[in-house]
Amino acid sequence: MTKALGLVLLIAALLLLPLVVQDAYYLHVLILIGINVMVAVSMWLLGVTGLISFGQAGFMFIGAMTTALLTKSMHWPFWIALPLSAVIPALIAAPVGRLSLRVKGVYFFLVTLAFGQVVNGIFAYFQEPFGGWYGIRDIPPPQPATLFTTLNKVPFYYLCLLLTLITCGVVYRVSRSWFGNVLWSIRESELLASSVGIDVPTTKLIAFIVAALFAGVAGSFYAAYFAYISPLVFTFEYSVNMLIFIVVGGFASIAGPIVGAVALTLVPEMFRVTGKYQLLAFGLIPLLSMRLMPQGIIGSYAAFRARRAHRALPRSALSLGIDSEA
Amino acid sequence: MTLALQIVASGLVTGLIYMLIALGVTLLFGIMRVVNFVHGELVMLSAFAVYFLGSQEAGLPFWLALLAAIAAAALVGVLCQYLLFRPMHYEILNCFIIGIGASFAIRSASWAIFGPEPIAIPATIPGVLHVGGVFIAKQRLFAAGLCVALAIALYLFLHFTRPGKAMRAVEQDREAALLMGISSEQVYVTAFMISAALAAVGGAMLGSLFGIDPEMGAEPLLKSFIIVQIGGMGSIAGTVLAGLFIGLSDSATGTLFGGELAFIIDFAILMLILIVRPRGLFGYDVSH
Amino acid sequence: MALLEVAHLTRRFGGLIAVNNVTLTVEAGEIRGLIGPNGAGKTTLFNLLTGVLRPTAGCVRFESADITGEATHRLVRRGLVRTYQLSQLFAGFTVFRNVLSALHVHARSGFWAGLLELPAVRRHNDALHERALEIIRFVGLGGREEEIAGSLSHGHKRLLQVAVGLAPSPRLLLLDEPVAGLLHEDVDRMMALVQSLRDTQGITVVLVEHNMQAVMRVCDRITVLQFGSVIAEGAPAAIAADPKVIEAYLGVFEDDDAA
Repeated sequence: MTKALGLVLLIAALLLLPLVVQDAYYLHVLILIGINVMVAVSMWLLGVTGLISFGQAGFMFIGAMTTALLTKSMHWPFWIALPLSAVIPALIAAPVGRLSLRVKGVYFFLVTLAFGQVVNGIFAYFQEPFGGWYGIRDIPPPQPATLFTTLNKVPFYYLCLLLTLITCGVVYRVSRSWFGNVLWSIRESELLASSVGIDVPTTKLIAFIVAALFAGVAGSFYAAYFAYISPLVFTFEYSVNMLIFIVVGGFASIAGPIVGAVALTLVPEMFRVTGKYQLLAFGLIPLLSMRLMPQGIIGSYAAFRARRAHRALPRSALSLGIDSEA
Repeated sequence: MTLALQIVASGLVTGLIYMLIALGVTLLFGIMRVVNFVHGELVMLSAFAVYFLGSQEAGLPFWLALLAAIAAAALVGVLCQYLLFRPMHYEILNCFIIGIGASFAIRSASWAIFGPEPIAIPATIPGVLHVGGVFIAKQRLFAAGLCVALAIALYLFLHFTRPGKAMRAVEQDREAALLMGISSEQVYVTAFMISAALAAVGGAMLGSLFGIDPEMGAEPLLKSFIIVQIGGMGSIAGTVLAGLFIGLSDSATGTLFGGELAFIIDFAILMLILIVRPRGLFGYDVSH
Repeated sequence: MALLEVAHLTRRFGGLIAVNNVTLTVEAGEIRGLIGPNGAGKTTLFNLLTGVLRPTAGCVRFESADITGEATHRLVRRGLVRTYQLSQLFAGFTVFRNVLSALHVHARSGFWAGLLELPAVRRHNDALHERALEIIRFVGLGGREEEIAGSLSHGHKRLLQVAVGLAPSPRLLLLDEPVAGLLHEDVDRMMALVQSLRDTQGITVVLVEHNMQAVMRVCDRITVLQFGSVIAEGAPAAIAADPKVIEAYLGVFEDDDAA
């Protein structure tokens, strides 16, 4: 019961936050966190199925590009572009997923990595209509433009909060349902999963499509908020960053990617870490985390509480590693 | 026609260098299922090492600098094994993540130390050969020759020496090899060292031909993955053929359409191969 | 009534013929043994029957329907379930969660059902909790529901495997070496369990085993494989006396009890 209460209080606090926090910079950081949480949580859902995809940045880019083209070139309202930016990556994810899922383990990582690079490369190569390496600037904000101006971040904050809550809500519900247990089962043992009647390939595909959908949503918001997208943003490194959020935050529950995204977005911002030092941080952090804290932040916290209660911790709460026979 | 020959000539050379680097990748993957992301940084570090040792202050002759770089790379390779991959019990995903982390860290450290600007390197063997209407820099011939020699040496090592055969045994069946008294740990150490050495030579060659910069490790690494996947993980012959193929393909698309498209085409080929024949040309069956 | 009909089933791996023109019929309600020296093709045959491998030739019929090459999960829905030689379990899950997950075919398990979670769906799936507990008690693991599957003793893992095999309510259960590595008392307990599967649940059982005593005691009929072909089939007594079978096993009969 206290968990539900805590959640309600948290959401209330987030809703009331802009009344207290006026500084545009802090709101910006929170919005960044929101975007990262959306993508990290969608990647987590894939991870629960035992899949690690490095193509999420690619789907995010597709969503962002959809919004950019629809709102800027075709002058469609953002509120129509947004759902389309969710649907189109999902539609692309269907064939890509079906093909990619034919291979297992590390080969799957590589295909998704390749996919991310191909998307990035295509958008980078064709100046028309994708903007090439220069990207697309002056993407119009959501309507009403009078509300979503560059001066006032608050409406963007609420929009981001809404999208993030929806993403987390959907992923949370799904992960706790029977379908979610099916995902966990597939991760534990694909062979046994199919032996109890689970349609493994179809289930994996569904997870893949859902993850792509939410990546598209995050990308769409990114485009509308930053008003500028380019191939330099949605890179392989970005996908890896999302993975690091999950590794550091922990894997056992949806709290993991959320905590990881919050911590690893805040910390570099707090210490004004930029540029290549960010690369160093994102290099050292997973290194240290995996050696010292393999269960992630939430796993370590759970282990700490379990030790205090003298209980043992189930194995699946522990590290991300997949026992692959590949 | 001469353009075609020119494309083939330069494509073969770069293909051979990437093939050498990819051999390091396939060796590690075939034997211990480890994807070593630090491999790319070994390429970069060796290129820098050869440059700094072989020029200016240290003034070592090229051969000595190369050997020193190889030794240093082998050391770093084994360090990676003990500090990064063994603690992860060679679990693929964990190694992947920790390897990426280490490569990011090394890359940014290198950027901090050496600065972001690429450094052009004067050729060790200056001069150009004019053969049948085609211009080939002697440096390139030297690089090509060295790569071929090392590839042959690797083949001989794996098939005709005891440690080499032990490696192949572990690759095929770890437990059976254990029953034969072959220690996997020793094989792993040797594999890491050889893989690092190959990366070192590849890096030195790339550096001598194209200059050095802290980011130079990323592209060979990704290309290696493509090559290894097309050729088949764990297959030397496959890696060789695929390396040459990618080299030629890159050279052709690069000359005709520009460099970025070459990279896209590479990845498109990768996706195609993974779809049509996931095991690659010569690899083992990996689909469900 | 013939529950399972296998006709001329063959599987080649390159030049090696692992299963060679195997024809056999399993009647509903029988306990069938499938034995043979190592490498005889028993597990390969199981793999062919359960969609893990596609046959090179031949066909398989289950309850008169052609199921040749059908996917494993679809066979489960038809009522054909199989356990594995090495304990395939959801090692990180508790005993309870293992069995509950295995009730998959009885659950409302779709993505939308999970997302919306209407009360009817919730009630339907919650009812399965009681089923899971019943199955756990039936196999003799009552009281161990919260233990992690990976930490169970070998004997208990085997029992859990049977529980997981039971959960989808199979009509035909294929058990791959259910007593391998078990101690004497555990072997007896497992064999008693196998018998009660047929006697109380009406499940037809085919078991692959090396433990001759267990097989002889429990099975109604036995099929013997060697080098991928059926060399004998019949009642346990006949099989034990069959010279072809004895020759195939030369010497094994003496020390088979050391399993």
